[in-house]
Amino acid sequence: MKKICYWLLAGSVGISVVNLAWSADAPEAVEVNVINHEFNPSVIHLKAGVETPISVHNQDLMPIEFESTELAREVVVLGHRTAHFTLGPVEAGEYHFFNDLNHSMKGSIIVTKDAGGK
Amino acid sequence: MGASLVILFREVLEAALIVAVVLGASRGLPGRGLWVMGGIVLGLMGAGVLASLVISASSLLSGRGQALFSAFILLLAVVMITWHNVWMAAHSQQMRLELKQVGADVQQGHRPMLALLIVTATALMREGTEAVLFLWALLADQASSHDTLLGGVLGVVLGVTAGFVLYQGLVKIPVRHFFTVTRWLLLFIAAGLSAQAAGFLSQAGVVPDFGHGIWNTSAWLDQASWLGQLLHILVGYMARPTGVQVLFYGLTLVSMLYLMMRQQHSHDRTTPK
Repeated sequence: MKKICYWLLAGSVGISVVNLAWSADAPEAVEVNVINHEFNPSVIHLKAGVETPISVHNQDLMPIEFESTELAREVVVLGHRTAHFTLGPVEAGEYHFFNDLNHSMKGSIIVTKDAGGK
Repeated sequence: MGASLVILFREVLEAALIVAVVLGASRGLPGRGLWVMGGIVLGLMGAGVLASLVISASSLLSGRGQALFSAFILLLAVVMITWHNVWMAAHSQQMRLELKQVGADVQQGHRPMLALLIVTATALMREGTEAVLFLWALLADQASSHDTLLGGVLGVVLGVTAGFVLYQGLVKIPVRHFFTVTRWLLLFIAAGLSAQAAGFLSQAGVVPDFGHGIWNTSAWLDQASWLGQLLHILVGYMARPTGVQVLFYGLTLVSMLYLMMRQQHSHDRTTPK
């Protein structure tokens, strides 16, 4: 049992190192603004299989929480602050995000092989 | 008022449901109300500290730090639930007998209660931080009306009521099944928390996602719907999970079941019927 645990631990450390060290060519950062309780833009375009940096600028007073359950991202952004994180790498398809502190604020994430559209 | 009510209700709901199950699972242990209350107070204090770190934009709690910390306290709760469930697997028969006797004393000390205190505290800390941040922003905003604040308070009250309703439902279960039910509930809650931790770990870049949308049942039950959220809290329902989330969920379920059954069998063998 102990041996299995050690191998699992070694394996997961190995995967983490590879994951963190892997650097694809740096794609352009996506910028999303929160103004007057709306995401702008509300549609994000991503290139499939690439980790894309994203900045969320909250220009409102109230905090928001940028959340996408499908992409496993939850980031609280206080009023008049900016949060930087990454999206992906993710397969092509359509995904969704919303403000967990105000479910009426929604958006979608379109992932294509070549990030068409802006 | 509606908006703040809904937000506070949702934040409080998850913590309230977990506290209800924890209270059920610790039924019969003396002084468990105090332990759970202690967990709530500690959790809220922790939430206050975390919120102030986020507000002061401390680099400790920025982006990646937030995700790593969330993953840590989620996994801590999973370990504590496992500890508790394994302990219960060894002692549930004794607990059932003692529940039937009024005023019986449990000889095993406070170790299981410590585990449940930590589970309670972590639940309050996780959900409390967002609620505190939201309330703080509401209070700081001059334009906030008393209406909005009232909505927030009502949301908290409703959330606590939901937990109370769950607890009342649980204690109606006949004693011979009761601890089995609470143990299974805790098992699935733990698996769900583990999957959430996986999400934060992949957000922090510590583990890869291993694919997205392993299945997609959003059309049948949207995770953002009320029933979806309820199932998300109680059994870890995910409408469109990533591979690593499914992995953590499955591993937690299997490991906990294995440990509980191993404990149960060794207990059955050594205890005269």
